[in-house]
Amino acid sequence: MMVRVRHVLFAVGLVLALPASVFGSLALAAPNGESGRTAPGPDTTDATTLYNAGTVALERGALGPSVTFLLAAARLEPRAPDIHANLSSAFVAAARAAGEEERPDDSGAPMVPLSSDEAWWLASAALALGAALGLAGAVRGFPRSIRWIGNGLMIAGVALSAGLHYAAWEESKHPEAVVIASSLSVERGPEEPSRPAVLLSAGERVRLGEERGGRVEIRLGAVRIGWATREGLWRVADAPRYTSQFRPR
Amino acid sequence: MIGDRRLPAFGFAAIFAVGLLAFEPSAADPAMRLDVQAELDRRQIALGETATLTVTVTAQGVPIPPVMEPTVKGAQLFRQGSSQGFSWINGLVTQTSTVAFGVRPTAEGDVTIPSIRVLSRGVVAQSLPITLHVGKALPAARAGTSELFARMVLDRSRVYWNEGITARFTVYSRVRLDGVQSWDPPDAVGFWTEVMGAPRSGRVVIGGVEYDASELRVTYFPTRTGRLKIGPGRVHLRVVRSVPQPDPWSMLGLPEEQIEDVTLETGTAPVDVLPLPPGAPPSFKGAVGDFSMDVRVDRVSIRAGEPVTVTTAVRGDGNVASAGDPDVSASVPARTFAGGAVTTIDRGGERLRGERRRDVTFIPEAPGRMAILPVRFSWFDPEAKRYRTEASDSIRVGVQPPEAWADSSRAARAVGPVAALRTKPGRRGELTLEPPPASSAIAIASLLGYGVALVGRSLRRRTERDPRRRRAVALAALASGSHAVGHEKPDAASARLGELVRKAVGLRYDIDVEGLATNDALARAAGASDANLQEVEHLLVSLDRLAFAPPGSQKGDGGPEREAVEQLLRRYRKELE
Repeated sequence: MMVRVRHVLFAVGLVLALPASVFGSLALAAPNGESGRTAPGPDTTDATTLYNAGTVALERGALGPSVTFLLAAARLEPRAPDIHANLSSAFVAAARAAGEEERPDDSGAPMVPLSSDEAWWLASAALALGAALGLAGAVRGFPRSIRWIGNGLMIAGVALSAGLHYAAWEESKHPEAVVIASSLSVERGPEEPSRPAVLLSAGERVRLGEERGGRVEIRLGAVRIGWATREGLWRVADAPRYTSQFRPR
Repeated sequence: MIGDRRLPAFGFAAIFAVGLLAFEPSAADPAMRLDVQAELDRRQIALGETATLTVTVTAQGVPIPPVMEPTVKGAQLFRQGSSQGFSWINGLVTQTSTVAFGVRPTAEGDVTIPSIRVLSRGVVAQSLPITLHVGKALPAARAGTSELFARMVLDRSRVYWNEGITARFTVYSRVRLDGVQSWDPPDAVGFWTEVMGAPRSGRVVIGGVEYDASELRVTYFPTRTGRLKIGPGRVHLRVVRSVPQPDPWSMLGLPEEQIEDVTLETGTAPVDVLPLPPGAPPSFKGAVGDFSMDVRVDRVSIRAGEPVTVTTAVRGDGNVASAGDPDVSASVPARTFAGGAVTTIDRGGERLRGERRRDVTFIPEAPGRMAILPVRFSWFDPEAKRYRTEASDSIRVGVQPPEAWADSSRAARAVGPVAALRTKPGRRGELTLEPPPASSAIAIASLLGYGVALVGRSLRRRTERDPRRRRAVALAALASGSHAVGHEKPDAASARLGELVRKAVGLRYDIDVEGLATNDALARAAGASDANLQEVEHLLVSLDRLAFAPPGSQKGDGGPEREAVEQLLRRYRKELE
């Protein structure tokens, strides 16, 4: 029984690991054809650039851009206190601008204070250690406790890898975006039943779906709430494109 | 008392029995009668439809005869079912038999159902011939009949992008319907759909035949160009059907009504959608139709920090929901709050009309003169095949200095950055959530390594479970033990080596030598050659001699014997591997 479990674990792990490197960005490519990870260099960005742009935007009262830049910076440095302080301040300002007096629940802090790369490396390290213990145990018999530690590391690595793959898939399929227009009307789309429009204010976080004729599908979590003009939204992953507009003097 | 009451009871029973016998059918003088009637549920059908022929035989005083399937030229008949009835009125017994046949014509024209003849005890009856008129199948009605069908008609088949097309889905009926029909949303991929109110009912004449008609109107706005398709539409109906009573005596011969659920489908229609011509003005946001715009402000004089709201209203024929809102801007810096658009649609007319209203609020911070700049709204007029633009005049708003107690709470409550700007570069990386290639490579290598480990562990376990392999391993352990014996005194070493040899024999030939004398142990070594046994016996004797020799009488250090033991162990191990 245990042997079968280990074989299944191995197969699942292999399936999870293969698309990322063997098929590369092909498997996780964005639906509009934009490649996800490309060669390092021009696509990499600096957390400080994003943080400073977000801070300048917050000073100028541009709440949507500020939230976008600071969310992007938090992806690179998830444990930086200055990023979280200004991001929290931007959320509060956005909530007040929208007429909400209460402090928003969403502080922008990630559930696990790890960047994407750190989490991927952690998963790889768990898998590598688990595999090393497994190989050593095959060559020279190890006590049962050591074998269990190796299997546990493999399970943890596969589970973490699965979660990260899902997050990457969700980001490529429904990228995270922030409302930058002071007010964005999300209305029903073609071939959809009548329903009242939803009004989003600057700084609100949404996820984007498919695009049709200058309009983009807006999702809150997994729920589609309607369609809005593409110009009123910035994708968090595209934040480096706009930093030139918010350079510190 | 009981005996007193039995007598009248027996008397009544006797009278009843005599009465029964007197009125029994066989005892009566029956009027022998046989009758047959043939009926069609309708006299006119379309080719491909099926009519029902009902044959009812009524018999009095004679057994009911069977009904044979008639031969009909130009149609196929198939038996659908049968029923029988029995009635006894005033001493006359009447039996009825009803057989239903399905009639499916094979060609257009008239189909004649011939007389149906039945015979029972010399009494003959026959029905009258019936004619069934078979017409052409209606092309636009699918899954319908000439009595009940559905059609779809478009008011145009070539439109511009976002120009409205009105489709009329109509049910034509000459049968009784129960309740209200319900339409499924007609299929129209690539269209923005607006249903124009509840279905309308009336009477229409088609080909000289009057029908009850119920019409659902739907306006479609294409959201992409090219050749698109509208339909089919599906409508669900409940049809009331009258079924002739098989037994003419039951329920006073009134026909029974049955409710049948029917789904009809209309045809489909292609629509060519043209792209809008180039040269759209900058204020064009997708409105196609016939529109007008109105701009109003709620006040023309305010104090700094107070809001002034500009309301734009776009109304007209077309899809106002996708018309977009005109841009509104002020001549001076002011905080701007744009509300959501409120769309009102009138579906009662022949064409879809509506109004789209939006409020934009400006809050000027400084006193002076503020102007709401001209608001422009553009749309494409498909009738004139050109873009039109309507612009409002600029609206002046006087901004007075704020009062001393004016609430500028929003500005005071403005939340700014808490942490200062950074001067040192931060961490570099990508904002996508995809794995770094190196970590993926490590993960794959690890998984492959883990797979190899699983295979290796499985092979190792399998090997360890092999009995020969286990014996060979035990022999190897004995061999390493024989090396350790070399450091001991010759007598003790010889005793230990003797024990090792006995165990080696046990392992080599898979026998339990524990507690056995040497001769007995060797006798059990099945498969061992005589030379081998003699060699072992000789070796054991030599070792015993060394082990148990009196002190001072030993003739060597036991080196040759130890070497012989090691050779034996090596050979045994080789034989097992």
